[in-house]
Amino acid sequence: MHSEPALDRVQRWMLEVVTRPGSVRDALESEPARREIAADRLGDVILPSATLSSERRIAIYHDMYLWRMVEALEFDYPGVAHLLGHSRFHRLVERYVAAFPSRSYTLNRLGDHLPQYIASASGFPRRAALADLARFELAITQVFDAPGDELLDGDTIATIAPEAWPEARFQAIHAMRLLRLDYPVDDYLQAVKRNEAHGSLRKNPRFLLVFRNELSVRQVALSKREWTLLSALHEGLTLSDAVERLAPLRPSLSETELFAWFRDWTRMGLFAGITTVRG
Amino acid sequence: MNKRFDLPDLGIGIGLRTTHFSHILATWPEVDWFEALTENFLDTGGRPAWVLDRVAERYPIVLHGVSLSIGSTDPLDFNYLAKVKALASRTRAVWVSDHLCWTGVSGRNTHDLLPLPYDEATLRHVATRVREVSDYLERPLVLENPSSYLEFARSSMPEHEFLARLANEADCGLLLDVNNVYVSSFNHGFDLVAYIDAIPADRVVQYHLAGHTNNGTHIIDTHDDHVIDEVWNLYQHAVGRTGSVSTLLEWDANIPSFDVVHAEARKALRYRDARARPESEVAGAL
Repeated sequence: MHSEPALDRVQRWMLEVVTRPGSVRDALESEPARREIAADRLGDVILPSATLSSERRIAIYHDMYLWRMVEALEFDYPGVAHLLGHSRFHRLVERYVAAFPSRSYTLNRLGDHLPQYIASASGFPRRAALADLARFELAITQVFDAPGDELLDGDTIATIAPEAWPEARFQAIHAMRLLRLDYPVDDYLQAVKRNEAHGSLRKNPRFLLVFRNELSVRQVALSKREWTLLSALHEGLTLSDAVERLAPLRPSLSETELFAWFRDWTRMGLFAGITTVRG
Repeated sequence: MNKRFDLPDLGIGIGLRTTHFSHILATWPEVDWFEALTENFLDTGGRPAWVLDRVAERYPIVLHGVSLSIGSTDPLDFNYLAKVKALASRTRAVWVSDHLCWTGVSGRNTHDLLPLPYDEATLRHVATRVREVSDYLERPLVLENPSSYLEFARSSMPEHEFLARLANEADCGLLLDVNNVYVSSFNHGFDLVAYIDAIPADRVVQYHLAGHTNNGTHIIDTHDDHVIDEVWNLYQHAVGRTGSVSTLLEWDANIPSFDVVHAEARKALRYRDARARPESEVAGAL
């Protein structure tokens, strides 16, 4: 007569069976599951019902697990799902969640590693474009959920003495990401969301700003020069050091252009604060 | 304080769902209360958090979680509980509920409400954790009976007995999901009315109602349709024992317009009002 496995052993076993890719039979016979409970003891652990065998009953949980992961990632990555098609996306999710299972109380961050996973995964077409699209969609969800900030206002900016500006550092809002992408994935995703025909995703470098303004996630295509300066400020460089980054780029930055950019960035609400040497 | 912890009858509520945000903000409908899915609002500073705060200014809010994993053999996640406590305070949640289940182990989360074996060892384990959580949250925890698709051979008592003993030993409230009773009864072949009658009526703080999907051999708790008549009748029977208790309709997939969901929820009023019907008549309708 067998002794009852302890609750922790039953739970580790069930976790392996429910989450393992492939069929439930494969899962029951996998080494991690057998380490907890032998496959031929299934009937000692789970009762059959009047209509379903023990194996079919645990298969309900096994099948629903992958379905739930697909649904969650499809919600966060509609462009990737569209580009791959149902069958390939399903296969991607199965492999991804095996490599990066959820360790969080929320499904919202399940896809945090998907761009890096796609970048190194084999067996998926258009991998570079797919990885760019995933990076863009991850930025959207991150910006959507980021904490809100009090915005830097014009009155505060007006108090900064002219001689303090070169050493000024800007504190960007949390809900902002800057992306340098090789493919026009922003246009692609917009077409997918509108059920419109989309382009063929030919290589065409993009410098994107993704940010939240008045609770809505917005995206703006920037020039390389504007993106470079804003990225430098986002990294925490002083204004003078950030401007230095533009030195190799043409045309040279004019004061008028710099003021126009700052006016736009402030209007978009990209900054939460500014610090100067004088405080 | 009574065994319901003096928690009020909030009336008929519905789940706060993203798809209805715009309608709610535009019309401020006459809903008694909203139930917010806890995890959807823990780590977001964007629109969902803003909407929840606006809704909480006008309606009573109850937080309903899916990741407490009260039955897991992993340690309790106090980082998670700290966030739940803060959210409950911010929204002035009338109570906080979750499910009698486990969702993961070894640090991993399946995001499913997995069933527990109902035996003495599990009862002691869960009761200890319920007390810990209640102490930490500084409020009674309310636990929901899950829908389930399998039963453990090691169980030594029926689910209703486990729930009744847990409520008394851990001093917690119960969220009686009548649809879940129906689903599990179909899947496991137990008697519906006997289950309801074994639940300590004075512990029931809230009811859940929902639709499901009948696959012939088993029922899945899909929350994607209207409540079936048998579940309404069971609800009426349950309310006959507990009196009018806060009631909420869940609709989480194929979600129709706000008005359709609200109208479905308000059907509960008929059954609450009719609860004086003789027991024999109600039982005959089940």
